[in-house]
Amino acid sequence: MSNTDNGLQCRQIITKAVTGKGRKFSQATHSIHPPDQISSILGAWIINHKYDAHRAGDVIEVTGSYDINMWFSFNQNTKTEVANHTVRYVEQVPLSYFDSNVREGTTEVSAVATQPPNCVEAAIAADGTCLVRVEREFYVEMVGETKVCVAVCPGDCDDLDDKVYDGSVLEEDGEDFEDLDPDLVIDDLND
Amino acid sequence: MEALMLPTSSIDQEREVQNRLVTPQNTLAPSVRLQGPLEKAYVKPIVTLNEEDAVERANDRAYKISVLKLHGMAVAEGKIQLLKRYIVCVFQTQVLLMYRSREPKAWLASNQTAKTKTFKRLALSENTRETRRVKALAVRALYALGLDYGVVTIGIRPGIKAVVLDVNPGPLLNQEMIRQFSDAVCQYIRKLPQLLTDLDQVVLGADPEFIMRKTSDGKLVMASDYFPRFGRVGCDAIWHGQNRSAKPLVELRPKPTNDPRQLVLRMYQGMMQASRRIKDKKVQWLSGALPHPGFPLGGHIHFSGIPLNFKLLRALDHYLALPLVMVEDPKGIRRRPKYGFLGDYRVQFHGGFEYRTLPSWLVSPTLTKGILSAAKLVAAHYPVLKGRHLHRYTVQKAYYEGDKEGVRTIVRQLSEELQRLKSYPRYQRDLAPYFRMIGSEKTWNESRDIRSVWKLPPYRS
Repeated sequence: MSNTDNGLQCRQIITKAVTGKGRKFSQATHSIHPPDQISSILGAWIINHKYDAHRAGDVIEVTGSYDINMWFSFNQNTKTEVANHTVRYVEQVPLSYFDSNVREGTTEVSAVATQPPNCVEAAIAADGTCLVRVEREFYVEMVGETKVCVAVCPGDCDDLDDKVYDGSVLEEDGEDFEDLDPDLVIDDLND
Repeated sequence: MEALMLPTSSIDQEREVQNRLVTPQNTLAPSVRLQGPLEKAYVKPIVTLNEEDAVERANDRAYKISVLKLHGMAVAEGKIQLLKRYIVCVFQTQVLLMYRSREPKAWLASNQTAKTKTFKRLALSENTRETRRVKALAVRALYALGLDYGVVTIGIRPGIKAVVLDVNPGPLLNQEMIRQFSDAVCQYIRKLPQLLTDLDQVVLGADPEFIMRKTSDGKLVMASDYFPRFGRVGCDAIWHGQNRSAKPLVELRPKPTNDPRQLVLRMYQGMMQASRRIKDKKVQWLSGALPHPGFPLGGHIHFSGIPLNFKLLRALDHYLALPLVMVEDPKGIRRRPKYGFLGDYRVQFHGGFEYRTLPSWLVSPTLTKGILSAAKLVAAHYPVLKGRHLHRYTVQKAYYEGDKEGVRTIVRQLSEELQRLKSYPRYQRDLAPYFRMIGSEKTWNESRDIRSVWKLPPYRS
């Protein structure tokens, strides 16, 4: 019988796991140079959102772009038109959870726009430029190879049925209190 | 306004309940009085859903706004920009239905005044940050107004800020709402007979916190440098500064038990164990509500073995949270209302819940022993307890402002009521000193090392 068949043992297995994650909500104001003779902004919306994530040191960088469509009137509100303006951005998303037990070089990062860029307000500023306020939120994840230590049981998997794994042995015990009469101690505390 | 009389025997006929709960105007009956054999055994608030006076007050918009603000909630006042609206149907701690306005695809200048919105029903399983926040805020708003059920409207402002727009105890109904509300009422009625429980059925747990601070420079010592994240003595998930692995709060996590004294003993043992790791007097152990700026501490009590409802939470607010106002260090008042707001709870995966309103009572062994015994008494007997002072705005205000004089007489009455309970003698040993402390003019001192009062090394004689 080989020594791996003997007793309860541990084995390190290599697996892929989420080793980092983060989330970031942000607001951005884009200023768009308006066409001449603009009277008012009638609406604004966002299309063609594209983005990509990569790791930059301790943070995940999401780089992307979208087009802002601005519907406006001009010539004393007699005509309307839609202007299109492409915006590029870089968003640094910090990792709120990071497990350093990851094999370097095996990580992959990904991002999801939990709130795709959304226009919440558009207005003409005092200096005549158009300001478009946008909200967006990203969730990022880093997946990498990591080692997990698992308990391995001898023989067939069926053998485990009659064993009860008692997690309590891992807990630190409240040692040597036998000599104290608990009630006396507790009664003695009267502040 | 008169409460609707609903015989508890009618719950077997679902249709019957539905028909009664809906008014001829197709709105929900704003107040319900349950009639049945338990009417005599329980105090009136237990057999009343949405008490009449609470409903009347909730119909006063100015009152509603000031109460919600007092309890620390953001309320919509004046003209504000909203991106989305949620309509949330709530029965006590349960969210029954949720609707969300369709998100606009575009910002339109003409839309800013339009009020008509179409709403879509959401799956309650939708578990995003925003929906979690909306659900919690809706329940909290309803609770603050002293109601049991109603429809809460929540708005989302730019910057994902949720604000309460309205709370309506007698809303217009659709078919789904009728079904859900009447189901919830029936469920409440079915649980009524079990509300009064045997003392031994109530299992208590706790996770009081303390922090450690250097006497020399007043800087915090990171709990995470000494204690594991999980464990009987561990560090809380809150982090400090930029580094998320630096966790300053120490948390005791004694194993739950149905004996409050045993729980105290387990916490004492936890502290004993911790005191072996940090022995010197150069580091202080501090507890209470806000011993160090920016780090509000909690003394959460976990309950299992009993159903959670608003009535129980209101009883805990009265019999546990109000008395602590009498002895709290005035420094801790600023913990509220962001933390320590009335009726703060969280449902636990083990099926129970934790009551989170209290500050860390670990500041005194007498309080620790007393509050846990009182928690046990209240949890088992709340259907017969009469305290309902917190319905009054002035009492709520006194609580949030830590106005000891404002609650003194009330606290005395409430303490006397607990002392008249037939199971009081069982916990008298711990409760009598506790009530004496509450009734004295003494307050705790959050700047004092708790090891000295717990007689732990290096202070142990």
